[in-house]
Amino acid sequence: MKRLWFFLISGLLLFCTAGSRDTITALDRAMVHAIGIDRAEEGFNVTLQIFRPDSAGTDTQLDPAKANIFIVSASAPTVGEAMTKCENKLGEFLFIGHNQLIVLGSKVSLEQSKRLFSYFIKSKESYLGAKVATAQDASKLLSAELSEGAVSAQSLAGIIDRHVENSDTLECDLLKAFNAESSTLLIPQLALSDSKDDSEEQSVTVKNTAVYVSGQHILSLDEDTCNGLSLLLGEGDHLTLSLEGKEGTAAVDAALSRSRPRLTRNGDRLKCSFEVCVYLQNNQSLELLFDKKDLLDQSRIRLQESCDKALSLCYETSADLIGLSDIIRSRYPQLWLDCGGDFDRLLSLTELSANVRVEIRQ
Amino acid sequence: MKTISPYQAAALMLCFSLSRLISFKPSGDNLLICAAGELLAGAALAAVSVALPEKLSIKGRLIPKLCAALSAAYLLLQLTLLLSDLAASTQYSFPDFYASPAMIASAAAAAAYCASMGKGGCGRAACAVIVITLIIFVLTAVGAADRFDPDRLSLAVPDRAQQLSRQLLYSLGTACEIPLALILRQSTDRPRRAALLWFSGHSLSWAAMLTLCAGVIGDHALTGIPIDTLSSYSKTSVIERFDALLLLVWVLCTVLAAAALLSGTGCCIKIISDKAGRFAPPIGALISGAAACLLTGQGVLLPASVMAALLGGAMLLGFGAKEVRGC
Repeated sequence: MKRLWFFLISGLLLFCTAGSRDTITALDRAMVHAIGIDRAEEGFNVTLQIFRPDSAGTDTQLDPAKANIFIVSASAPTVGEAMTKCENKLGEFLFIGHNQLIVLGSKVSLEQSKRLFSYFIKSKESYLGAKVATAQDASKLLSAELSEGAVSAQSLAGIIDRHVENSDTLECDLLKAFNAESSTLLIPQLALSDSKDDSEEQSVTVKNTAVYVSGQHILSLDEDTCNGLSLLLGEGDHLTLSLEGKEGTAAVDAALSRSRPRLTRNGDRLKCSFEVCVYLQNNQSLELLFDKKDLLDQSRIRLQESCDKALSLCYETSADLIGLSDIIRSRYPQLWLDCGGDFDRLLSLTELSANVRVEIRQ
Repeated sequence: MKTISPYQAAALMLCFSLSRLISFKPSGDNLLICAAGELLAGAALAAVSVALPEKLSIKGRLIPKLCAALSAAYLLLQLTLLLSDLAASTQYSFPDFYASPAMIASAAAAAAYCASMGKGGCGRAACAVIVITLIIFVLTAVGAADRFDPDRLSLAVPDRAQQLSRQLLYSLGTACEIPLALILRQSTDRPRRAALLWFSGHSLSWAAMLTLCAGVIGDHALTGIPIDTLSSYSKTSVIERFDALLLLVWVLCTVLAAAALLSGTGCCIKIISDKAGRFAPPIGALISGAAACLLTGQGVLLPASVMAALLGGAMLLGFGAKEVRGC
């Protein structure tokens, strides 16, 4: 009898709570895969790349030969208002839960990053790990018909991933970008290559890596400096070096190992040293094309130069490219508090060095 | 009558701890200090629970009933806050989709039904829920492990002692596990083992999850609900986000914790009146549910000192309780 009462009450509650007027079905939603934000006269121009499968009349709705995207854009004083205008234009509810990428135009400043990204942070649907990149014109990039992949945004995210794995750039996501106004941020810069023939297909590559300090873009890093930073931060997995061998230039693949920086204190001075270890996989081509000792020396010198270049850039630009503030804050919190978290003061107390070790793995 | 094993008793108490962990909001305090405060509070409460004599009774008719009434009020208050917290936290995380009264009513009804199954039924269900919750936690940790950076863990805050004392007071004021332990000790043959098991699980889960949040999300974890943020940030090759799974285990833990509180309330009321004790769980669910609906969104919070005082009063139950049939 008791159970019957409880089942009755539970059933009643099920009826009360189901079919809420706020329920939105999947058919009423537009899946946003990528978002572009450019500077406009009114404020911001937001471009949305929506997933729209282009059927070729086959069994599956998705045709890999086509772009499968639909572009909508709107301008408004804030990003949130622009998103609402896009929703009005579409006539559907936006779903940003599957958003892969946010592209920022070159003129978009991150000095008020919390306000810029507030729409994404306050929305529960938003994925905080969505990649963030910059481009000359975000709207043009998202509208491009790409030759790779069935869905453009997935291709763009994949392109950034490959560059990060090959140590050509450093990854940036929404969570890091949210704190850009009070930290140093490294963001991949995407560039659209012009099509060589009359076909509409274009391709995208990561040209450089933009450095933002307290939300302002101060410089762009080339591939060599990014290699060095990847080694120091342990973010990339592989690296390809073109070295002089017995019969000319040849490519050598290197695998990177992650290492933590060592921070020691001597009175008022700090010494931060990075021990970087790189492994070259031994194979037939390596033995044929290179002298082992020469190979090790060449690769060590090249990588040491990249690391030293990255470290000297920290002093030249006063940009915390290596996360030194966080390292000191973690290991010497009282010193960090005494300096008030000021990076210039912390950098003046610290001596940076890197030691690269190269080994051939049998 | 001994009806549950020490593992089941510990699982019931752990449901409460994990429900508090998942809905925990640091409000700007350092996560490592919050974890330390919670561990210290847990250690103190576990030590008290272990040190209490197995059986102690106070002579007289009025004092045991007074203790029981105070404990019942405290448990109902905790139940109200638990239901209100579930609704408020879910509305914070999923603002567009859930109506608080419906959530509270569903949770209260489910808790009342679980309580009607008795402590044995609740204990067995709690063991299953704890296993599921720990699996979800492990999966979330595996998905976020790639992004864990030990250099984000720091104690660089100027007011470490104040934050620790604030967290300690909050933990002592909201810890309902020990009054639960005092009620459950009558139903289990090894209450001290149950308390120690609870303390081990409580410390491990709070320390591990808050450290993971601090190392993955960094300063962003200081606002909002860190475990919820971590679950939506964590990603594996199979599951892209874990927040839906986390909501599942959160509700399961909350319902079982609420059921344990209702069972405890029933035990307390039985000391005062045997007849009234039978109807205490559903009526308690009704009263707490209604109060929670009114409280949600109002930002009403009792001061931590008042909560701690009520906790002390509730612990008197351990001294005033007699063997109650069916309790």
